[in-house]
Amino acid sequence: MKKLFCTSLLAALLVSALGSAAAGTLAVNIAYKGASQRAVWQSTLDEFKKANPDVDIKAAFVEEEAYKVQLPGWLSTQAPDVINWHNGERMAFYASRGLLEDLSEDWKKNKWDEVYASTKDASSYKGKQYALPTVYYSWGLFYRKDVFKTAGIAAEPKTWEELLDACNKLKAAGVTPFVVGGRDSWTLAGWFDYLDLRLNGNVFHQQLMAGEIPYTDARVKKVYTAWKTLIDNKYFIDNSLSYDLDGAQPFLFQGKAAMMLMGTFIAKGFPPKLAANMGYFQFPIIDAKIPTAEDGPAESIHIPSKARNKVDAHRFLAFVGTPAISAKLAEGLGSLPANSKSPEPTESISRIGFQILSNTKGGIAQFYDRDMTKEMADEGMKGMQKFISDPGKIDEVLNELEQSRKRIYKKT
Amino acid sequence: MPAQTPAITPARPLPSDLATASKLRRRSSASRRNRAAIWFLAPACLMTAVYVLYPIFYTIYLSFFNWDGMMKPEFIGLANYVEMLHAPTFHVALKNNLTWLLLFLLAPPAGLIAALYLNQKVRGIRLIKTLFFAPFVLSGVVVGLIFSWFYDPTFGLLTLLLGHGVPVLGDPRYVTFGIIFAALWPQTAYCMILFLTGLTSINADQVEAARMEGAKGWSMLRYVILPQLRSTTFMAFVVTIIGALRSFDLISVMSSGGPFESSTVLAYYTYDQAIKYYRQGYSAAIAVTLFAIMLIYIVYQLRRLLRDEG
Repeated sequence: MKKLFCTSLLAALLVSALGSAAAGTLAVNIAYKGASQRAVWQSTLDEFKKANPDVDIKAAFVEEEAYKVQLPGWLSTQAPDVINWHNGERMAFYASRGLLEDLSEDWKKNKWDEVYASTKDASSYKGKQYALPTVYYSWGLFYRKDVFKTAGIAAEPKTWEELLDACNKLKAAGVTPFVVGGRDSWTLAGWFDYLDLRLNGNVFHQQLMAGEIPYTDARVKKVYTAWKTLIDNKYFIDNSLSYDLDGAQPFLFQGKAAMMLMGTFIAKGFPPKLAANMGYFQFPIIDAKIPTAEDGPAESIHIPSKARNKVDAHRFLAFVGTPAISAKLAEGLGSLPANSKSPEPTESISRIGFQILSNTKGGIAQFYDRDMTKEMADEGMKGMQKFISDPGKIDEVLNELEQSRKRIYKKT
Repeated sequence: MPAQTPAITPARPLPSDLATASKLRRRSSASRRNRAAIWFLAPACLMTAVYVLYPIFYTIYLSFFNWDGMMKPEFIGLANYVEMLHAPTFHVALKNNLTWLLLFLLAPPAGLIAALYLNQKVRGIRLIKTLFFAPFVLSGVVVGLIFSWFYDPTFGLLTLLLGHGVPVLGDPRYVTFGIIFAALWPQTAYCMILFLTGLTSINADQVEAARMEGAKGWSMLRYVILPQLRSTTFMAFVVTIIGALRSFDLISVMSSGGPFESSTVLAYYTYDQAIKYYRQGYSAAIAVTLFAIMLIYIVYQLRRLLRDEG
């Protein structure tokens, strides 16, 4: 009897807790890296609360790596109302399983079609939108201005010849031209992306990413051959596979290496003393006939289809989708606002990134591991590591990738 | 455990059976004692069932399914195992596990040597003991980080010592050995502690008697000390072998299984498949394989031990 009473009391409590949670509490889960990113999200949430006093916000900040692990669990069981994530293939993985809310209505209603035109494709899966893009960032070559000067390099290289010439001058001055943290295989993927985009163009690149072109194609080999020339000339640091992104940066800070191909999100982490000394330029043109395309991966926010408070979640998305908030997020995250109506960034590296991306004629790619299925991307990046550890093995690596492509994309 | 249950829960006596009242009372006091025993055992049994037995059986069950952790699991029979046997990474992982197993067996002898050295009564030996003991209390992540810095081919201590950089963690040929070497450091300390404890319980009279007989040095160790350390040695080997088979943390910290999965082991492969690719069923199949390998080994060792004791 007593037991029954206890159980029913517990049940009543649970029901009332759930009931009150549904009325005006917005659960937001945010993946973040570093205190400054957390702070900008927190202040965005505060502002939303100020504008919508009837909504209680329950925010959970989870460090990015842990977030990636926990996300599938949330989406399939007790989902929060809003999550941040990446669009493109990463989003499609969940969208295809029906775990994300269809936002096509929001796109029409809020006129996002206009302001987010450049990221609409990456936010869509089978013609429906599942994401609100927040920020995106540009990729390019970071370099040490002072090191360039002492090596006698007059201007930022604009073409392949100018880049190779600069490399020679740097080598002569005793500085390694490029640093790359190959232990994080995605840093190598940046090199593949740019060499492929410059040599073969975005159309080919996207076909390759979609698994429609065999890796044994001569054009893929051309990319690796160009890369091999750089390695054979010792333009990259020794033992790059021993370093991750954090481990690679000291080469730049100590002036042992001059350039690094990376996304602008890294600029926030440069030591303040060196920040003024760091320049940033567009990856040089290799073939003038090919329209320049760039990597511009976008971040986004989504509503899980199992969210309980979808009404307020839609309101929150509409709030974040305004030009002012988009600009604010971009500045705090060291990126560019995805909203085209946002004011242009003021900080110099972000501005160059903005110019690079707004002047692109060949289109914007989402980045190697966001443009294709995760499994194939990982096989591809493992292949790059194998190639770096022994550049003579191009054919072997490409043959193995072709086997993986046939298996993963079910081609025969 | 279940086999004992009927014995400690005797059949409830019929209330009408008044003639055997005294017997009943005696039995009821016994059954009360038994019931108390059950209550004391219950929490442990429950924990074992929930946290050990259920996961084991569920993992085995799961290994016959294709499941991404979100949608409905799909029964696919032995397909996961078939795929696993054809996956190059599985063979790399198995080979690395074997390398771990073989090289990790250096830890017990090294621990024994350290223990013999530290088992002296000299001034300052406590401090030295503490230093030897230190790596054991460090977490695997810390050990991994320290060794990553040590191996750094540009800024690391190893580079300073050798005069040139060796990419220990960046070269598929060296990476597994580099990580095993790092892992041996705390494992040796662990074995050393086991042996130090064993040495304190050695019968001093026997050692004295042996000395009178003229035994010293190697013969003393071989014929007097080691036989008395048999159970300690057994423990050291079992712990080390299990440690080698479930090696995970150092690999995760020092190489993430790379470059290109050359340093992965079964435990890391399991994690990778479940967390990165959401392949819970396939991951379970690898885990079951690792479990089977450990089980076979443990059963073999236990049988040997029981035979020796008997």
